[in-house]
Amino acid sequence: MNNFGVIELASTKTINAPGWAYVSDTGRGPHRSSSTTAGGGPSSSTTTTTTNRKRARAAHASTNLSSADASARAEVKTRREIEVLDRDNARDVNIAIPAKAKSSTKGGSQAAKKHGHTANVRKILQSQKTFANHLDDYVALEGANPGATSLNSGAGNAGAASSRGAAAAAAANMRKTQQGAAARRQSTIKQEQTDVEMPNAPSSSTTPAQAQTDQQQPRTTSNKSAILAASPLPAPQPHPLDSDPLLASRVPPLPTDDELRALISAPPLSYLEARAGWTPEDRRYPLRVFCEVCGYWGRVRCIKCGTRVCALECLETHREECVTRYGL
Amino acid sequence: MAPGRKSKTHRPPPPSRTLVLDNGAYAIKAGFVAGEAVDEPRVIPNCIARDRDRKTYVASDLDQCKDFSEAAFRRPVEKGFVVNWEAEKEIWEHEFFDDKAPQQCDPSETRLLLAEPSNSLPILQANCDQMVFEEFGFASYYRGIGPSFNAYHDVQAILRTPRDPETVAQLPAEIVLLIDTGYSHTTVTPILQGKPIHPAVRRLDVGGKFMTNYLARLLSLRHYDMRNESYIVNGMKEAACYVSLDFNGDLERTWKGTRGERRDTYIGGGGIAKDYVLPDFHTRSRGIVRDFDPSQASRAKKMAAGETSEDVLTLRNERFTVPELLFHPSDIGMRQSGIADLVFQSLRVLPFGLWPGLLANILVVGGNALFPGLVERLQKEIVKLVPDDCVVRVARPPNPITCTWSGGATLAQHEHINTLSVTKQEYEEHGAAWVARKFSTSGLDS
Ligand SMILES: [Zn+2]
Ligand SMILES: [Zn+2]
Repeated sequence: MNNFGVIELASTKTINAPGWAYVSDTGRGPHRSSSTTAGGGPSSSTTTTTTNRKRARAAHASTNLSSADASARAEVKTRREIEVLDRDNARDVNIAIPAKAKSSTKGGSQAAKKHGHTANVRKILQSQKTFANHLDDYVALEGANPGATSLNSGAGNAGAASSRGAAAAAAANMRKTQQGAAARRQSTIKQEQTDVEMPNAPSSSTTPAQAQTDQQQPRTTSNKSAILAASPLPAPQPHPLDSDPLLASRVPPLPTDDELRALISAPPLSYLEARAGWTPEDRRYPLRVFCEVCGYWGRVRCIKCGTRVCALECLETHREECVTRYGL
Repeated sequence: MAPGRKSKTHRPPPPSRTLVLDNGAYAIKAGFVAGEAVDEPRVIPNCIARDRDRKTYVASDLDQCKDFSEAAFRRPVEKGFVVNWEAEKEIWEHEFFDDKAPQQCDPSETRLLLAEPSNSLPILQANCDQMVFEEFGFASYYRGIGPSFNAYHDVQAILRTPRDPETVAQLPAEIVLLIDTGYSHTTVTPILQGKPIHPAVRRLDVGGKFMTNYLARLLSLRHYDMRNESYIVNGMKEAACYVSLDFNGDLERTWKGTRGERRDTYIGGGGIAKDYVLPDFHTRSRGIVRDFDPSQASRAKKMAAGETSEDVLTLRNERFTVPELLFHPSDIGMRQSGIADLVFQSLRVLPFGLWPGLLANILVVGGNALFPGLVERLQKEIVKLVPDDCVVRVARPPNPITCTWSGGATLAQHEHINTLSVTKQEYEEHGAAWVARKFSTSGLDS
């Protein structure tokens, strides 16, 4: 089930005032995503620490909202809104195929008309299944019989579930360079040592012979690939600090042709696996919250329903609707 | 691919004409390739539409529709994949097979080269293959990953790489990171030698449809109910929306301020506010974007009093908060990364040695690539995510909507296509499962 990853927002600090609450925007992302998808799918984020959850709960308790009610309500509302945004028409429409003049079709379809449709085609044309129906079928079939839906299952690829791993395992160096990459992102100076040492680090999946070759090969000579040539970019301009060992940049070696071949022959992921997730990178910044009325920052919260607005003027606009929906 | 090789020897000569189809959810891009001759592709609405008077229009007949208010659409493609073949068959017949079809072809003498998105469901691929051979009867057929067709372009020319003018482009390009942002979704696909690296393909479920609906929702909250006017709102989105390079700043410049203290930027428009004149489908069949006119601030009253015949909406933060969903889907509560992070998630499953090549060769295609500012913003955000010494180059080809199609047209002329394709005879001999397997592993041993 796709719940669109709905998140309920909880703030770290609220200041009470009659009818509304001023919400502090100092909280980091993880704090605010602390309570997630109350009744939702199994994909709820579990990244927040207990401390954060407690703090969030405390924050809820400090308002006179019924927090469970409000969060469930907000979550259902967000999910419904996203579902609506994903539709082709605001209303359900049923547009029939227009009747057309007979014998206006030529070519293959004429043949089909003469002989009628094949059984396969008849079944396909009569199907009223939506994409969501087909996806549910796929998930159910995969669950009952893993690999059954994979075209490659016979060829020794254990279905889509393992394809991510297959690619990663395709080359022993790959994982090392990934770690190297991660390290680079965290520290630019430390990275130099990490990366340089990486190729020599023993790896369970590298045979001794391979490891030997890796060590002996100067990194710059691995450009002799049949699949990829060296970078198509012209060499960068020389810079006075080029010789500074702290700033020395290293062109990472191209993967070997075997590694490249493994990459381009790895099977596709399933539809759901290819969906981009919500990564630690996304949590670097706090979630942004907007005024539901005018779209500016949502710095104020309606005490009754939790809706965010920018200031008193928009709050008043919101209250008219809020009162009709939830009563006074 | 032993079976393919084996039967290749007794193959009849391939059809001399190829129908190249990029069968998008919003529009089909279609044209023929015969030898050296390549058609200009037609861009055909992939829908059956019904107007307010309950008149129905199939595909390109839609240009006969004069009044799009409250028009409703039936689209055979959902999430990028053909799901409803009853409607798609009607549209294909209308455009390609009927007596009066604008791009008439006889499938029994034609090869079909069809683009599909990555990560389809096997059942939908099987349905497609069965329709192509059993219903339409194409003589030869290749179904491939649309994004990878873009490698059949002179990618270095698009990226304006300085080089010898005599250089002949290598086709397919050796390395491309392709971002395809269309009606149904946005995908990132690393491509080596024209082949997608499947495990690194990533998808964001935000596309043009989602953004149009979001704009309709915002307008309905703030102006009039536009939720049944997806055609009009789509036009407004295309004409007026842009990707902000300074989101916080633009949001400040469009805020009204507090009641007692209206901001000058709000009163004067802040360089962002635009007036949009809605089409009335009598004197005006398309909406018009105009510079914001502060003196007309009271025109809502005038309109109510019947003093003006124009329906004008002032667009402010709607102009950039809508495309912002591509970068921050979490703004509306979706728990998915934005495009820049999508790129990073894709790179992360690849050897570090490929990063420089991919980052220096990023192409953006699809209708959303037309948003002003999208390429610059992407460049800026990707640079922030990757190691400092990686050169990041992002470019948009001249026509991002037909780029996948024209790449496919080049592939149709390439020698590879004869080994990639499947003939009707092979389909009849080996069956649908064999065809599906061949396409999913195509060209890997070459
Ligand atoms: Zn507001
Ligand atoms: Zn409220």
